[in-house]
Amino acid sequence: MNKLIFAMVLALIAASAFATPDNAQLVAFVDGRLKAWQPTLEERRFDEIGWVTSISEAERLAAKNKRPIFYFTHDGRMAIGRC
Amino acid sequence: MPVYVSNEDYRASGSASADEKSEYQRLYREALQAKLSTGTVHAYVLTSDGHPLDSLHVADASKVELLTAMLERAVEKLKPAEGKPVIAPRAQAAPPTCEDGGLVLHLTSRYLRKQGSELVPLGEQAGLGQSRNASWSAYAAENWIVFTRDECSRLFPAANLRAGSTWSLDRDLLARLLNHFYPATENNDVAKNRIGEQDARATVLSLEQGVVRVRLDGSLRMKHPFYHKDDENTVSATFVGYLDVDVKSQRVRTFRLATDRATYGTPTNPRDFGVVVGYTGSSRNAFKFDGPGGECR
Repeated sequence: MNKLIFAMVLALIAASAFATPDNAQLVAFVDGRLKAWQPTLEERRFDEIGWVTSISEAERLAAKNKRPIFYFTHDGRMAIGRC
Repeated sequence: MPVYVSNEDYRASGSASADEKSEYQRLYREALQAKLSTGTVHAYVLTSDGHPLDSLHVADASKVELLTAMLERAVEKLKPAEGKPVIAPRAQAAPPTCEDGGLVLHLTSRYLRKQGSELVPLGEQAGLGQSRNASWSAYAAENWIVFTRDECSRLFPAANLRAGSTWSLDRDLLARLLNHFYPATENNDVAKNRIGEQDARATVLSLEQGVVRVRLDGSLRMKHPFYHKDDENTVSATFVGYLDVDVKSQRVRTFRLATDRATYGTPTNPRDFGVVVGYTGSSRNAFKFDGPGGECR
């Protein structure tokens, strides 16, 4: 009997997690997920770096300011996390 | 001076200028000659006159201690003067421009975990910034999708919008959006996707003060190879959303979607992930938009 109740509780939890919202819940459901799943500032610390957009510009500014260059080459688009 | 470049732009058909491509090749050759670690996905330190000094393969550069050690070696050897960034930091994933009446949609896709009765971001479990966990699931992935004014007009019927009206969203526009419904993977070539099933049913919920609110219910089944070769990894998703249309101007004011359930992986190892489309102005977000909600202009 206890096992049956436990299974029913689990089924209820699973159902509540993945139930499609009705019309009354729709906006709150979508806006809630939109807010909760956005990239966080912690995930976007990449934006705290003053990136240069080309090799030649980096070399020009490095020579002018006597600074070394951090140079990263990659596949895809790092700025949007698709790489 | 920090700089990152995408290899796609520096191939023969890439968008970088001839001078840029030449410089990219010079740096690669010089790094090889200097017997540094080299490759297409690599982090390098260059001297201020543009010569390779040190390097790390991305698998090592993604480890905090190893990357920090490389930067500290450069400081020790080159002794650069301390100073403010030469270029002011700014959001790297800025929204694209859009014609008047068009729609700029921001899409976020991320791996999720179950927490009680909700699906939530991995948070600390993603191990962001930890050397032992430089995994694909650490970051959210994003895309910008732009619909022109003409394309926006294909999202809803031109007349007879009343409560209870239903239609299917334009298949081509929907496919352009759904092609980005996958979490972070090495392959980001949507031409390699194979959409098996897609649908989005629109239903008018209300018409108030000249604005029609439309409910969207949809589903997707799409093959998306994790790497650049065919595999069994598949997206299975159902999603809901809403669309607000200004009846008088026939413009889309709001377009928002969220998956209610989505998995990606092989048939024996599907992982939970989620996608949202739209923007709420949350203070947690790094972006600063000028437009109303960053959606319609």
